[in-house]
Amino acid sequence: MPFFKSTLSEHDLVHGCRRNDRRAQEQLYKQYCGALLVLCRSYTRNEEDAVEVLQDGFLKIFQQIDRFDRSKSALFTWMRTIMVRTAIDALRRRGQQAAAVEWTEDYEPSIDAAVLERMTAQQVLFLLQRLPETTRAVFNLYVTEGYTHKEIGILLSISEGTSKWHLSEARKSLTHSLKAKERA
Amino acid sequence: MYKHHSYNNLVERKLQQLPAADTDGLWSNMEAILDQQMPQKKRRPGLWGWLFAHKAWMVATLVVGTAAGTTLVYVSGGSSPAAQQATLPGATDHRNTVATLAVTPALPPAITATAGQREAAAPAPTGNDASAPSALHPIQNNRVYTAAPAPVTASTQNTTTATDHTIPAAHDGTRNTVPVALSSNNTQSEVPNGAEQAAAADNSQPLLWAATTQAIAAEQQAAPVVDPAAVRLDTETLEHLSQHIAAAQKRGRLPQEKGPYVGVVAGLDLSSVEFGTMSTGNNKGIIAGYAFNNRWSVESGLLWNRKNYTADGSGFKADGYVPQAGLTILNVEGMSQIFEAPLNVKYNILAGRHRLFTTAGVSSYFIRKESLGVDYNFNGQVGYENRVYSDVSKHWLSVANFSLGYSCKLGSFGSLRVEPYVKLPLRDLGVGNMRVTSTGLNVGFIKMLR
Repeated sequence: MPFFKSTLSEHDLVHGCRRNDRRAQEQLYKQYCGALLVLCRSYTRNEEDAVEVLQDGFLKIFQQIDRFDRSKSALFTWMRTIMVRTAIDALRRRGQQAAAVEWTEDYEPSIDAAVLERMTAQQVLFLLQRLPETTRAVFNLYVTEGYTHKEIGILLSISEGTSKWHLSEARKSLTHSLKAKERA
Repeated sequence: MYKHHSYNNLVERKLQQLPAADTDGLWSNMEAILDQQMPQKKRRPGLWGWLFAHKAWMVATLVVGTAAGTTLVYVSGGSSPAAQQATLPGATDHRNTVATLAVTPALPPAITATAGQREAAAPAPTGNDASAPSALHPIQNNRVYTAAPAPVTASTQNTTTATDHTIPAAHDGTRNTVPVALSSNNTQSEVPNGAEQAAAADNSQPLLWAATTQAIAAEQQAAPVVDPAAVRLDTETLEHLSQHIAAAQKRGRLPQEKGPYVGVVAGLDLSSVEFGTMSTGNNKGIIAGYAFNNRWSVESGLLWNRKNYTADGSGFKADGYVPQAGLTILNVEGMSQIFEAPLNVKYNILAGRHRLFTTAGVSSYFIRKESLGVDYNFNGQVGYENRVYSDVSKHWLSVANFSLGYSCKLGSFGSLRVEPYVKLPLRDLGVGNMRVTSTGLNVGFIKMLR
């Protein structure tokens, strides 16, 4: 829960992190750790993998904080981008690349938002984590992050059609699960 | 890019309802990674950093305080107790004072005379020893103060048993300090005059002392003539003053106390949020002040406080916290480590050896560390979150102080103080922005720096 906010301003936090100041790093970490862990959970199969991605991502954030440019993006947006890239790197390392399946139909099965609303957070996470890794990554990148299929294709080294196929698979799987949940 | 779908927020919002991460545990892990991947340059802490880190400042304060106190006691009590008793207020005025008086035979024979005394006394001729340039003028019925740089033997003829007083010379290298022997008119003094002293010094004393003695003699001869009556302080007057002081002390009326003072205090602290449940803490520190008179003084200092408090969620207004539907804060537990800099005015309601006093003022809080634990209920799901903050915030003049206390003088050592107090917040404090009220009891030891 976002009860706490760092007592340092964002400028001081960034400045402190650039000086490799542990206190500033700690405050930055604790301020954004919760939100970014949610992101990591949606890209990984289990909590352990999520924490691994989170720590790798924060290490990159601290190492690359000099590259942060306030005029180009907000701090959280920049951190979130790094975390997403880290999650995708982890996916690549595990070699869980999807088969080169092309999807050409422009069909997107709809997800019943009302059913989703009635589910608990744990149930939504469970549904996401049941998806194959690349499919889950495409779903997150497309739905949550707002990337286009072309961008996702570049990120994941897959074709645009394959990205569409994964998205369609994710929706099918989620819709199926939601209907099963609804029937239950 | 960033094409938003209708349910993207829904998924994310759902996931945010997952149990909060153990940020402290995760940070510990992260810190270990950072220490390995991005080690910090080891910086040697400064002196103050070392002192605070080792809490040695308390010890240092005590050592310095003890040393200062000892020095003060030594400086103020360097002369014999008898000489102290004979010292009267106003001793700096050489015209009407025999600074250290030896008006009774019971007093020690060695008496310190000031240059002013020499100046005033030297030219006064006496029937007994007019030829002696170093002889101080006769005071009160046959009593003569005589400068004696060398051991002096004085014999009293009119006593039933002749008594010899051998007085050691005070060769301290200070011109102003000259031993003085006391004799009466019936006394044959064997004290050498100035010329004899110089001659003797030439033979037996170092050249420096001889030169000093000659210089003193020359100074005395060159000094203007002063009416002996101006420097005469008769025994009756002295006795009267002594009796007056003794009577005043007996009644508990001490001379006006004016000047700086320092002290150490420590005590128990009870803190609560908006007069709720009280939790125990403590405080300790040093204070310094200045007494304008027996009634009024101002005080400041530096106190190290540890305050604990417990509250329901009603007063919790942490930065970044936005009340949400379905979210209820059940309980907040806080611990703060605070440097407090008070600025108080003190008024002695009852002045004397036993004092009743009151203080009022404001304090600035410098919160060094704060720990907050929050129990909450979010849509039926109970959770707990704890955070620890360092160097949290500075709150200038943010707390009003009031106290009513009692102090008792412990002779020349200082005074003991017992002081119940209350501290009322003037604004929100700490991470939780809560109004923490404190009360408690401080016990302290105060020493006047005079």
